[in-house]
Amino acid sequence: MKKLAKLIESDLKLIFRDKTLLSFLVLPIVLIFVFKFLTPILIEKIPILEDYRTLIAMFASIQTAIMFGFITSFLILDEKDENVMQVIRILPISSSYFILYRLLFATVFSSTAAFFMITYTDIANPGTVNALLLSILYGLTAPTISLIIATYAKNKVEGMAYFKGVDLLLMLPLASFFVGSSISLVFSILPTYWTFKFYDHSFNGESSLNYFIIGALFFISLISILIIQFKKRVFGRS
Amino acid sequence: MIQVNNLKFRYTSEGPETIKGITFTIEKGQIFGLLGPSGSGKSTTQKILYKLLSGYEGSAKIKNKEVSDWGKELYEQIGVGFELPNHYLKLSALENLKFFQSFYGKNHDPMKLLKMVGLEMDADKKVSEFSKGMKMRLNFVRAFAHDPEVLFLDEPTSGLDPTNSRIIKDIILNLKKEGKTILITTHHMEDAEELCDQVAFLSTGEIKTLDSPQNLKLEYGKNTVEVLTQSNLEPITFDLKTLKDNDKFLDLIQTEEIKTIHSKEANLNDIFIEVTGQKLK
Ligand SMILES: Nc1ncnc2c1ncn2[C@@H]1O[C@H](COP(=O)(O)OP(=O)(O)O)[C@@H](O)[C@H]1O
Ligand SMILES: [Mg+2]
Repeated sequence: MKKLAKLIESDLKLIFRDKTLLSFLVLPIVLIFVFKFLTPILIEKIPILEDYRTLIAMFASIQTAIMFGFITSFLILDEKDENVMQVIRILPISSSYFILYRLLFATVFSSTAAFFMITYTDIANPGTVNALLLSILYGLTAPTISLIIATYAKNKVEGMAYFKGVDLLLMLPLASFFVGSSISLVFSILPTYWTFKFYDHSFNGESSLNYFIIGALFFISLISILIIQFKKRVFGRS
Repeated sequence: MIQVNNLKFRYTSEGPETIKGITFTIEKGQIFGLLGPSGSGKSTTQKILYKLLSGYEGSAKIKNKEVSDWGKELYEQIGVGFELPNHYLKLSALENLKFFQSFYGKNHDPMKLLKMVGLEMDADKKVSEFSKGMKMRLNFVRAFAHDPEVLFLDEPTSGLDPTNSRIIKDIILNLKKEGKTILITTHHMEDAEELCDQVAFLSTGEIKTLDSPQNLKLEYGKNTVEVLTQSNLEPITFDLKTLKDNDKFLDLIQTEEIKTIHSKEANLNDIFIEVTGQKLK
């Protein structure tokens, strides 16, 4: 517990002392308020948007969730840059402990923010239980994005580019709601397809638990593969 | 405490052997020096021993246990002073020390450690504001912050001014007094001569010779005396051992006015060049 407390304490210090990371920490809160107050005004002005409530909520939630993925990935990129990774490797804790802590850190923050985005903004609230399940799926995008950037980006400039690219990929399945069901299946190769499907179905009161299960398993498999890659490429290096 | 036997290592499976079968033993309480020019494989050897590199051939044991069999508990027993600084730049020196210390069972007082290397006034300064030398001193104290039995120090005095270098060397000698076992790599012969009980000359991944600095000097040293007189432009060199029977020398000091007279002991630098045919730096 002492170790965990120290890890959280130092991570928070590192975030608060970095302007970029701090702004990414504040951004989800800003987004939640912006969407809460702007969406009703927009829908009033452009009534057709009423039909796209769930899509707006899906978009808003994913944007909120990925911020913490960005933050943890940049913490890891710093550790690579500053060679601290070497020191972490010679600490008497397993590398898995360290990696899992970071990913959990990202997931918890990101799920919490997504939960507030879904429930508090009231754009498309599928009920508390569904919102909780949805938050888990949204939360899992954070470790995914974090691992991709931390493993493959060589520096922060590349990290930023990866972030934008992955963000785009994760949003892409939103397009599935505008195309026929056969084409829409193409998007099922992206994990957020299942998040969005679950959102849509649960909001409309249709049976939806399968989407949650598939989505969760998809994310967990993807994250497992990425962890192996991360250990090999980042932790395995001197 | 440390036994290395016919250790071989290559960075890539098809690549050349970086370490070509080296053998040495370090007894408890000894300071052992791996000496060699840049690129000879000093850091590689250390990294194998503290498991930053894996996949070696031969044997490397710490406390009678093969390095590859050690788990994370090894790191409670050993301390590592890295060749290059590696700290969280956005944390202060004290925060860095405390952070890394939080993973160990027992620890020294971090403020005392900073004081030992003259960083007590900079304890709350962010490491990003540190000079390279200050970062290296922080690296050094972090290595033994958890009071390990075995210490690996990779070029502990490199990049330090003479004063700080002196402080570091005194601390190393004190750690030896406390019974710590220390493996140092360096290309500073003077440091090695002063600190090490045993030195191994490493050249392109091979140990060319291994002995105490004293024995090496006895074995390879050509101890001579150089005499510069008023009438000669160049100093004249005499063998030190046979000096009392050397007529030319005796004649010289009786007849000529002496300007300077120096005894020249072989130093490890010269011996290294003689043994390996390579310069150290
Ligand atoms: N990560 C690496 N990959 C491949 N070769 C390396 C790597 N690190 C060091 N080497 C090579 O191994 C040799 C020994 O390096 P090193 O152990 O760092 O030497 P030293 O510490 O004595 O200066 C050098 O030729 C170096 O180029
Ligand atoms: Mg080196």
